[in-house]
Amino acid sequence: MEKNTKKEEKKSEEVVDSKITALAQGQTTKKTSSKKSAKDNKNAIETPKLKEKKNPSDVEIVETEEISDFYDIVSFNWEGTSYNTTLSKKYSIKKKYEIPNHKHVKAFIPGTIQKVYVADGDKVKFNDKLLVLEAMKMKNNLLAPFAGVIKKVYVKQGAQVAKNEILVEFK
Amino acid sequence: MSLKSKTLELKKRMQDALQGGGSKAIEKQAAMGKKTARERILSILDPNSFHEYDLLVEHTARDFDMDKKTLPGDGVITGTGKIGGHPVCIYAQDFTVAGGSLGLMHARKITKIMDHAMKLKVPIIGINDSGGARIQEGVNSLAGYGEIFYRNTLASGFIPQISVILGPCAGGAVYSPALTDFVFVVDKISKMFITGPEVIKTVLGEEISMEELGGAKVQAEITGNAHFFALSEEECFNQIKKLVTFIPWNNSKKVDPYPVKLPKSKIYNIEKIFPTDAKIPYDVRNVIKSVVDSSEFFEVQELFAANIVVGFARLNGESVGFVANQPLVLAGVLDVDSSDKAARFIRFCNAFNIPLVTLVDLPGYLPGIDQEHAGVIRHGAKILYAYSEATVPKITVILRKAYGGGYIAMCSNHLRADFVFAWPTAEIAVMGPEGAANIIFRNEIQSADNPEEVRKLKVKEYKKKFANPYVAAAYGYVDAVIDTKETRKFLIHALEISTNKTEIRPQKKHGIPPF
Repeated sequence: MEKNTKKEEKKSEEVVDSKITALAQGQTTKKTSSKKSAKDNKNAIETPKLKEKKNPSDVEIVETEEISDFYDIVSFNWEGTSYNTTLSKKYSIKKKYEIPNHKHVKAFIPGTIQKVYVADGDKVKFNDKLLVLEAMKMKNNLLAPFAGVIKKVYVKQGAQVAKNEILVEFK
Repeated sequence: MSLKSKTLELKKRMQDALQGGGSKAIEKQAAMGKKTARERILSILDPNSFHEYDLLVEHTARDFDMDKKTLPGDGVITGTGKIGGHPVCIYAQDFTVAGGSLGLMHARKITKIMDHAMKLKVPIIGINDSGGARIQEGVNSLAGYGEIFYRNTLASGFIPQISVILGPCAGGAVYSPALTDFVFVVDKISKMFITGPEVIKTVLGEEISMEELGGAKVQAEITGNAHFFALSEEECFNQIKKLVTFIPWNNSKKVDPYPVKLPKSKIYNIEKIFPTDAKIPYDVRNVIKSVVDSSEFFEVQELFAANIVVGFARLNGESVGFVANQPLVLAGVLDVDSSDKAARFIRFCNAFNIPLVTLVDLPGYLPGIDQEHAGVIRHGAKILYAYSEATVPKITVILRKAYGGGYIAMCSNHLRADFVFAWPTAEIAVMGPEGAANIIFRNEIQSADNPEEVRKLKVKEYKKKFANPYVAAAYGYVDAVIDTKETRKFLIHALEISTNKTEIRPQKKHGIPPF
């Protein structure tokens, strides 16, 4: 026991020591103000906030026990092991994958609806024209992917549509 | 005419050309927070070392009343100079002259200085600040771009090529920087995109600002097009000056050695900055700093794919390229972007005789639908290709976890690392203990009365048996398990005895890397 406490003391002394030296060498050892408790980190999984990264010249020396004070540490599960780490910006803004619904006819490109050939409740055959989507100065015929009945047409002639917007739904 | 009057005429001609786009245009440039092209060159180069050529070049366009206009230097400044005593060729597009637009003579000036750089075997630095093609010159400006791209490709791997984006760089113009080795951007000044916000709006109806579409931060953090991000032009110039000290003049030279300085081992104390538990994060850059000269690490692409760290440092005075998994970000996994980033850096180092040191601490390749669909197979293959292809001295240190495909990819013995060292904390295994135990002992765990307890027991058993460096060492896949304190000593010795390393490879025109 005694040994341990001695070790601890020595450790803390060294910490102070290293920080002083770091200061002397012009390194920033200031802690970021946004100190976070471990409890807050649970929320961080859903909405990770990214702290401004520092330039390599002023990367702070962070003791391993204090690392969660500086970074938004989240739990990252990997084959049954959860690693504590942070998420990159690109990782945290990525879109969630959606299982494609084959009954939806979507806009493959953003553009304008030039013409609508079908209405709700229409029976269509495979490859029947559904509508014309104009984009990049090209008129694209959107055809029925299979024979079926139209459940709903979501767009009107002249409508501006975004990419992946649902245009027509089949029953 | 006397010599004096002849000299006076020269002075007058020079003065006209030197004023660029005139005081009004220069004021406008300053209002945008930008330096002029000439100021930029002078800030990068050593004092009094810049020598300008083709100052008196004039454009040749005749259509659209262009013959009535004079464009001083045709909107680009070219010349040679020195950075810290190292010779370089340099050009800077002058936004004050016709928006720095690229016409035939403008392009010829650039290609001429590029040809010089290749003949003289010195690095080329290009400062981009241009509105794009000079529309009045039509197909000639397209020809100009093409000639530049061709030379960028020829020079690739022969002389270092540096691009500095200090203004707009749009349309075809972006492909010259993209073909070069290092791209520098400055916050709020640099803008790069193929098609601007206006075109995107009219064609696709999507609204976005220039900054959000292709500003410096986006290029440095999201797209990975930029390698160095700075908050001001001064900071950017300092980064360039620093980079030049780590890279050679050309591919047949070695980098000049520097005086040896010991690392600041008191600050970068492994015992404090390195947790032995594989689940606890730490900043791997501190481990790099604990072993390299004066604890100085010059990071490349710091903001992009931060789950892998690449950059330059010195060991015993010699420039070395470091590649390290970063457990602090995404547990240090390999994914599409990090593999791409590392592979490119490895190929640069290999092309320019810079030895590679790899620090390994990763659980493997990142799982996920987005990764699979983004092509993690073909992108992930890049790092395997780059390491296998590299013939410079390759030294690997396995710090903690090295599981599965990640272990192979991070310059393992099997990809012909010259030396593989492992710390006693290394865990070299086919997968993490939890995952492995779940598979190997599936039946035992499921049929047990208390599956959770059995599972824990089995994980512990597996950990003890396999989560260490000694199994790999027993097969000779690890050359030495070393005390963490001896890392620098082992690295320096390995580099020293690898000086004359030669490897004979099959003769071929070139390989086909998974681009």
